[in-house]
Amino acid sequence: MGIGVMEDFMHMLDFFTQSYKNENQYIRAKAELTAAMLVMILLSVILELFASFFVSKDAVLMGAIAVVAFSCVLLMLKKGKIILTGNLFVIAGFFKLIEFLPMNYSHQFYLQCFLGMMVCVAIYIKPYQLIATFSYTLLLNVYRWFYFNNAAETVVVSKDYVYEMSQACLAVFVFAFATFFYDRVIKNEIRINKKTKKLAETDQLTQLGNRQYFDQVLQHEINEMNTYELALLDIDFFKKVNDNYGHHKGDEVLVKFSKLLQNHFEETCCFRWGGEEFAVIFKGDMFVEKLHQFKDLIESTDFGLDNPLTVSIGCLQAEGISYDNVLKNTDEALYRAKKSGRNHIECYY
Amino acid sequence: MERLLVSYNKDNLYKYKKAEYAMRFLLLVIGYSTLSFLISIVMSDFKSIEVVSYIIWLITASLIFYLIYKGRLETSINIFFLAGFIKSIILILLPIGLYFYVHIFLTVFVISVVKYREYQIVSVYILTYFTAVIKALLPDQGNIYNTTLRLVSYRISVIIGVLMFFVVLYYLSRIVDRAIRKIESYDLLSKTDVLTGGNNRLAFNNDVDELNRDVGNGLLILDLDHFKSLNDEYGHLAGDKVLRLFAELVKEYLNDNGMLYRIGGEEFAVLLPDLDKEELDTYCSEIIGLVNSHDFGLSHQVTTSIGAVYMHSDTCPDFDECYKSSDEALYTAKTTGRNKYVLA
Repeated sequence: MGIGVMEDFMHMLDFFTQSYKNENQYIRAKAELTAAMLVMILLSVILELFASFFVSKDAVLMGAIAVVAFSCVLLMLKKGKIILTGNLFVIAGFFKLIEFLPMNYSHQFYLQCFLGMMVCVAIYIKPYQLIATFSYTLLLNVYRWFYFNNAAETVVVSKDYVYEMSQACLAVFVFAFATFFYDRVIKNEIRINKKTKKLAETDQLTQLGNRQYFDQVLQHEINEMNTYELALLDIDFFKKVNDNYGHHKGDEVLVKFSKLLQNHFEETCCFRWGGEEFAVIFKGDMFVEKLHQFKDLIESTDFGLDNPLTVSIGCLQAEGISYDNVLKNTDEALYRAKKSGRNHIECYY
Repeated sequence: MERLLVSYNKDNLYKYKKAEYAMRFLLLVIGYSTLSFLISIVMSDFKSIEVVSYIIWLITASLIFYLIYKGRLETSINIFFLAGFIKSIILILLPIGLYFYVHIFLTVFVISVVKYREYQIVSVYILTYFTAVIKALLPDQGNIYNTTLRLVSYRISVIIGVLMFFVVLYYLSRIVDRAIRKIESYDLLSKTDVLTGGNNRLAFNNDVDELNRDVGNGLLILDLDHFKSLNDEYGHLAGDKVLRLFAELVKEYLNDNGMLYRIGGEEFAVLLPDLDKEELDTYCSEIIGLVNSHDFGLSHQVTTSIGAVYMHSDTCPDFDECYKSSDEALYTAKTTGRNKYVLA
């Protein structure tokens, strides 16, 4: 139940985080959290403004200034200045701590210590923001502890008070350590996540995309109704290379072939589709010309074999064709290329 | 740390990671409570209740530790939270109340990091939030707040501040959860061969590394005969189907005695852990017989050649050597007529 409310709340914040749509996931998460924090702070200052109407008329002006200031910060976040917003958070946190430094406001002081560090871990983008928040929080804690410890001797505060304050001070240090460790954990998991994703999408031998990644990309193109061109490439008589020169040489040829393919099509997605079959999903001009160039390139490259290596290619221009038909038609084109004597390009139209 | 987590399987990465965090944060909390106990001893007059509560906590902590060690993560986290919550109820009675807030912040933080099930995080938030709000709304006993406005501002900052704390924590724990879940799925995906749904070369390499070398293990390399011509004649889709059927057939035959991996286009490997040398013959001949008698739905019979090697510390200590000799055995089988097996 509580979790559903959380999700709805996060969706409501989309209005403020629109300008981060095209950023990476990390920045998007930070922007979402910053917006959430700002909205809640704004809520809290509005509540205080209301309360001050009933309690003391003098505080109304201060309350109104706070509401305007935080609205401006929220507006800044909406404009896409997330680092500046983060810095303002760090500075505001510092002044809040100073404000709550006197002993009468101890509850708020410790609340602010915990909250400040937690929020900073969540929204920081630059490491200096984290370092600044942690260091001023811990320094002010130590300062406060010494100050009131001495005050206890002159009977300004009770012994109970100093006792609880010492416990709180220790807890802030432990909390700083724990949140810092948690931040490492988050970073580490995200890093491993990226690494395993890459591993799952890459063919181990050639370092091109593998078949499941190909399926994924193709499915994406189909779902998005994009226009794209697809080619299946099959190395001719590759079996003979394996049989005559051994598997090791065969692997070498595949690696070299993949490098040439990736270099020739540059930014385009290239995949190893099967044993000696490769696939290219292409978006751009002159695809067939490029394929011809590639075919000639392979023929003229020395792979260290007795006969030059050749390649047969089947290609197709696709838009709004189902997954099965795309593969079937391209495979058919490849089959025709093979039948017409190999080292050949056939397109399905 | 790994020795403490032996009862967790790394294949269930989520549980493994959570157990690891639970272990680390439990150690942190034990360290913290010890320091806090020392402060109590030094600062206040000696009170037997503090010693008793510290000892009770140590017993609870060792129980939690034991439960995590035994693999009962969910129960241990529940006990962890209950212990923290009971203490915060006791702390409400302290005159100033600083210690109370500090305590609930730490409890909620630790439980959100280590939580294993969704209900844990929800119940922790709801219970703690209400306790905190009730504490804030209690009358100002010690006359701490000098103006009414200050008291109101304190109450507002607790009501909103604790909520903010929860939002941030929940969000961060969700980021970690998603990352771990994704690692889990990508990990599985990277070891799976899409075509046959079985293991691929990466899984093969991993399992080879984890093989027990002190006993004899069998390694078979299987290669489908004339697969290329089959592909050319019937098309790639038919070729794919043959590979799938072949993999299913061998997997079913091996059952739990060995693992099948697709290590190349039409090349498969089988690892047979802990077996006698005589058994290797039986396995090879039975696989060949099985493939020969199976109907693949094509007009000509699919057959396979096998190169096998018995890996033992005194026959071939190095895996690469073993692999090479089985590859050579396969080559011999191919050149001397196919549809047969050769032992290296």
